[in-house]
Amino acid sequence: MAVLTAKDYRSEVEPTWCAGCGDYGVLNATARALAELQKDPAKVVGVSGIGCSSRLPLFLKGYNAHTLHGRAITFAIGVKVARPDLDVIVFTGDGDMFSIGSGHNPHVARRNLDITIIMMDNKVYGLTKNQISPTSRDGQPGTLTPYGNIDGHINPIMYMLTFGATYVAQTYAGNLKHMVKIIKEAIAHRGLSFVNIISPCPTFNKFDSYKYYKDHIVDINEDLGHTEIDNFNKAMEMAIHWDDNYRDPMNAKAHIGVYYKVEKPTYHDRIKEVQERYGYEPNIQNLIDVCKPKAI
Amino acid sequence: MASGKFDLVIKVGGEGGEGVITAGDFLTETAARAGYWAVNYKSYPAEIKGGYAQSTVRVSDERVYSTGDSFDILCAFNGEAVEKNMVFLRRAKDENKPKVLVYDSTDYTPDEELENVIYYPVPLSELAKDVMKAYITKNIIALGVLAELFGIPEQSIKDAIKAKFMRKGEKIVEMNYKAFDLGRQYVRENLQKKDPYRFPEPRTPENVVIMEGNQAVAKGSIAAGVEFYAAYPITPATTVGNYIVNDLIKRGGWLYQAEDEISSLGMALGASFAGKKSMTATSGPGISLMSEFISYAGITELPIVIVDVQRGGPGTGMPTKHEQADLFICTFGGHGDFPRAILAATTVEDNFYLAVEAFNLAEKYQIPVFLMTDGALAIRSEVFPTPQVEQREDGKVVIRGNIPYGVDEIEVVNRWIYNAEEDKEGKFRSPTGRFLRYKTDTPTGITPMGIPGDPNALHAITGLERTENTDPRFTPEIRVKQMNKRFRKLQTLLREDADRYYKDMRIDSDNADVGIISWGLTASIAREAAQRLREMGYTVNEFYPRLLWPVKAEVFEEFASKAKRLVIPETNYHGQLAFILRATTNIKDIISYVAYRGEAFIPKEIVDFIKMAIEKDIKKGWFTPSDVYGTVVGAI
Repeated sequence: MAVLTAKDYRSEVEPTWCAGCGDYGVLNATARALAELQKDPAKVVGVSGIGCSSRLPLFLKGYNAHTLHGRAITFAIGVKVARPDLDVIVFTGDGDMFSIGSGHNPHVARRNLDITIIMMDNKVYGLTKNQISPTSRDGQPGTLTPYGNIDGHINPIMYMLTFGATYVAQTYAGNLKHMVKIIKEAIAHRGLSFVNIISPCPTFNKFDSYKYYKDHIVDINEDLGHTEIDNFNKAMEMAIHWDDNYRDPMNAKAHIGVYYKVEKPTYHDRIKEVQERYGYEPNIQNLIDVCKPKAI
Repeated sequence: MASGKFDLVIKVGGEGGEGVITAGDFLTETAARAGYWAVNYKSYPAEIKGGYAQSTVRVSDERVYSTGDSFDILCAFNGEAVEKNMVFLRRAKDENKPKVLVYDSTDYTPDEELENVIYYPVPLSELAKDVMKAYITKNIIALGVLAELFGIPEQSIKDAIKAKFMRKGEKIVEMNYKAFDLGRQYVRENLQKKDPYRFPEPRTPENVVIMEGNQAVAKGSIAAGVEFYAAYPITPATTVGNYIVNDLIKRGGWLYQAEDEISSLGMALGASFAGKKSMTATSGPGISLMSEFISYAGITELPIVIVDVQRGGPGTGMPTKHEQADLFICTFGGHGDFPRAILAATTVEDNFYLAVEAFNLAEKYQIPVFLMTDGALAIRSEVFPTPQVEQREDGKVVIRGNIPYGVDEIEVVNRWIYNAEEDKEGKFRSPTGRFLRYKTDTPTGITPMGIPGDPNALHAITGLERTENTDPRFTPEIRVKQMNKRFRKLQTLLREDADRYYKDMRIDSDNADVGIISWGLTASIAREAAQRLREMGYTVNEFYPRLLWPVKAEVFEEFASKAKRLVIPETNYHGQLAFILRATTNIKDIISYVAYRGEAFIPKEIVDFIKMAIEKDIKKGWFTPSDVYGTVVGAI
């Protein structure tokens, strides 16, 4: 097979995002990561929910499913359990994954399904034109909360660590090189990988701008010495500091890098064990005949 | 007993956990081993432990499809079971045959002698505790009592006991035989037979299976080749999963216990997209939760089978009770317009074959297909001829047997998968080579699916309206073409497949006194009612469609035109099938006869109503058993 380049992973559909949207960067980084891994486009399945970010799989060449708001993970699980030979990548956003779809997060993580989740975190509902999300900052205005956000925020990194994800990282849509490296690692990781990508929304979130992140981004692995990435306690401790950026955004840094990476048996490894234990029954009739009165 | 025929209803009632259900199962298996047919209607207590449980077994020398109006013999494991059935015992005085009460005299003493009731006191608890020193043998002692009193073939019942306990070792089998013999001995030494009920001699056993309703759904799905099942526990659908899980793993598939019903359907659709035959089973609340994904399956054209084991609604409703009130949500649930099909089973045997048919329709038409059954059918067990599955060398699978709706065989259908080799002229490719998943100009509306892994069929699916190559686009022209494509599949279904589900029709006269249309469990009861009406001299036409949606109007209209009145009995408030037929056919007058008390009809209620409708010349309207009897009557 000829060597594939990033453009071989892009579909003919042109993105409809606003100019300057961070999601363009995520799309480019994903295509590059897939090219660097030389993945067969026919064996990569992108699955998304609803939202600006969830349009992303439509712009990829391969087998992709743009599903329901909040339900990408459920569909992705079905694909992966049915076809473990496929690489399954969920593309989602902060509202899609941590508001409407939050009920699925613990369960995909605790089972360690071999799925990659890429969340584009712009801290706002963009497709419905500016409502606050679970990752919005205090005081951020939205059309349904014109008085400014009073809801508090959640920390996606901490949640996914707690739920049992075996690869957890954060990256930034303004840093293509870092994004490509992280997405590659996440796809290559055996087990549930979660990548939170800070993806600016220049249309509705004026605070979290490229300029802001240019001044605040710090690499936790390179700059802050977070190297013991198989240590859960240290990963949690580092994750807690993501809240600093919410408390004191002007002074606290915005972290990118790998928080946690550990190898554990995947859900599929355990399915295989069970299937081997059960053995294979080629004859369907035998499974029906067990309902006959037993021979004495 | 019907004249000259063997037809006996034995009911065992008592505290849940005392072996009541097991005793009923033994009687069912005994009937099968002795060459007779049986239907066993069970009800468990709603409580987690304890409470009243019953098992009603009807044994007959020919196939029967309901447990009749009431029992001939009640074996009461405690006083509560007698009290629960007092209403039926009191009715004995008006009936032409006696009722028998075998009761645990350790727990209960009758305070009156009811007319036309024959009493057999047996100290079941005392015998179990004091003689057997094992209370758990109470139900086996009771079986011994019943065997001796009613001549239940000894070898058949002992074989059934052995089959159940042989896994636990010879000692346990011996203990149970001893308990069985103790019951027999007690009868011989203490009781004088006063009733007319007696089992005939055993016949050569037929090649039969005994299945519960949900088990039949599971086995049928396995025969159809299901590979992925997503489950979320809900009464009374949970046991479909319980029954399928081991078989599914042995066939190389997997059952995934989801975190909720929304996920169940999402996962099943993901697996379907990935190329696997997929299903989920749930009950009413789960269907409500799944509605958005049902709609998504409609627009993305993913094959999926959704089993709705209905329970009493609305809300949490009556989870352990019978009702057929989900026809509306299965037919109309989910936003927007999209094609779907609904099959409904009338018996356990139906459940097996219709599970196969549900997969066939889903795979052929790439639509959501509902298989509707209900809580009473779920736990009913039936003896029926063993289905035969032929797996041919070329991979074809053909299923034969006594297919109750009148077809000879079912060939398992697999979805149309795109094959570039077969598409040399590029019918399903755009000029630039893109795969056209949703090409609009096929005559059937069906287009080949692309399955991940195939480099020639790359595409995205989306819940958005889309072009032929799946790009989101909402222009009026594209919208109309895509809608027409999707709905053309239903026209194809009506043309090519509907008739096979309409064969269970009997026309006695072109101007019959009554035409009966019924569905689900109620159909199996209406069938018996129709037979009784015929024996009374009425002319009766019957129609039990297994396909409830889409509706081939002319079939229903023609049926309706051949009777003076059309009665549709069903167990929901609206008269949901009647409502749908009023909307989709030109049938003017329909009599909707409904019960919504949480129990199935008994045949007598349908007979009495139809007699009334004929006598009073009723042609249309909405009626309940209260219109016949003036009061709400429980049947179970």
